[in-house]
Amino acid sequence: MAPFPTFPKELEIFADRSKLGERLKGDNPAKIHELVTQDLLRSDPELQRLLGQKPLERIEALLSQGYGEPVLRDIVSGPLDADKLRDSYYCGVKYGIYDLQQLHRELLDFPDPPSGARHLAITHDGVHALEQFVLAKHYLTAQVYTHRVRLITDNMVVRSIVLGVDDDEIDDMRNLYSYDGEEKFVKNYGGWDDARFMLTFGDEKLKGKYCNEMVLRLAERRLLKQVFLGKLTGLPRSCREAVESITKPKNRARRRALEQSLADIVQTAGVRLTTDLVDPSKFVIVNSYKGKAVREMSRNDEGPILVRRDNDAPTTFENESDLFRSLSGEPTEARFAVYAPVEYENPTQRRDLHKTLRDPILKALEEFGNAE
Amino acid sequence: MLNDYTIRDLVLLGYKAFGGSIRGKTMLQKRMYFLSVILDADLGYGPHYYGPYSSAVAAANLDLKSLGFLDESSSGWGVDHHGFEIARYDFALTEDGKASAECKAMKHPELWSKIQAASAIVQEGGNLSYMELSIAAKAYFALTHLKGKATLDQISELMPQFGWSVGKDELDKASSFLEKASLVSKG
Repeated sequence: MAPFPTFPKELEIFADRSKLGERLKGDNPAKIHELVTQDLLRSDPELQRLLGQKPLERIEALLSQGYGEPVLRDIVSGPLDADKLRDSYYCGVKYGIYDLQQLHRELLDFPDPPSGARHLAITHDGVHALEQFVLAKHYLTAQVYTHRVRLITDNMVVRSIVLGVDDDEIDDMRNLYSYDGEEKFVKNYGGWDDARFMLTFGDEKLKGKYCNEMVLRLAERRLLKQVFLGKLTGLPRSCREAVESITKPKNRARRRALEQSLADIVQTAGVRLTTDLVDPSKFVIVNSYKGKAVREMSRNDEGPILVRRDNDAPTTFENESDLFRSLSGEPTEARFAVYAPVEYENPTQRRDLHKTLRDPILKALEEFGNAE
Repeated sequence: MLNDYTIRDLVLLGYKAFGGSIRGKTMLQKRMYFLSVILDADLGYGPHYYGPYSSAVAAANLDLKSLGFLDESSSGWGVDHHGFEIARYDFALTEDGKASAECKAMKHPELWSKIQAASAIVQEGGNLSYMELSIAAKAYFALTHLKGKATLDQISELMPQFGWSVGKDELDKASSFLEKASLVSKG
């Protein structure tokens, strides 16, 4: 078990990279959460007993950059990745439904002559099953992954951890997220789960700490509210690039500055930030995200998915799919949102709040962009 | 120095250098490939079934669209052997994109100057179609694997190893482009 198992990029700042050496290779380091997973696999005696050493080593190789067959990596983290099989089921939604058996039958590994490696591809007969899968991914993304409440709670979790380490200086929190590749870290990390996390950092003895209040808000479902949402293309031109990358770890200082500025805007507009902590701006969160257009869901990071045709050279999924050929090339819609600890009693008050804050926030964003 | 700038900046300035628009994804990929060669900039190009391809350039192009700096339009472009219409996707800087590119050019004058010069070299090589430019890119890529010196026959023999099939006439035309663009010299 481990708490909130994925290490989002924002939390990778706490990793001690000086101790990770060879495992972070050159200009394209492995993601921290992949390294943590490898360590967990290697050190868990129960997994070793159940799976055996060799399969575990193969799984570890899958997660390591540059090892193992690309086709296996394509299964784990390509566009046809196995994650999507799980998410629809556990969310209990009917959106991400597709014919898994058909898709499974039509997948194959295909040699890519330029690199000599074998990649995941699909037979011609599997094109429709793949269309179904990509549409399922699209709906799951639109309805679940980018759902407002999910985005808010995700950001609250990450913010509680960042505040716990940086502002509250809670040792337990620091030890939990300062990955250094050591056995001690893995042993400690493996001993936590979501419940322990919520109980420990929501405990009375941490009352008055930023982290504590954020965790309690999550536990009691007193969530931050979305006070602004806009498409990136609707924001002032000067701020778009800065805002689009605002959640990247390297932009922490800029993000902080923007959040402080927006907290002032909210309060100046007569809206109270409902926290008694010293600096309420720490609970104002800016977020930038995008869903992918349906056509883009068909692409992976390495290039287009290949479709094997019996008598012809392979082609790409985009060329072969009637459905995708008929879709217009809708651009990816990136969005920017602001979450804050405010209260409103009904949808009318919510609308009024949004209306009150919209123009001042846009003005603040323009000034932010011009200052870059 | 060039690798300090994001790939997205390079793609945006590339559009500006090529007149604000590029017709077709293949043309985009191959023009940026040649810019990367001339500028000695790592834009993430690797061999792919359809020629040198960079997922980073493709991603940067998508980013520019999502920022509202690029418009994408599709146009019918004949039919394939199945009888289905083939679409070509053309890209053009929006007014915001042009303004942003202008800002970046003013902010990084040295980089902009190099990109302008590099794009001029590509255009001086001749007004090639996307297929011809694609072949030229494959030929140049193959040449780099032959330590930079080879006959056309040797290049032609290497092509199947990358999964590419290029005829002698096509290769000859490609080599003329590469020579005019000062990327190769015939001896």
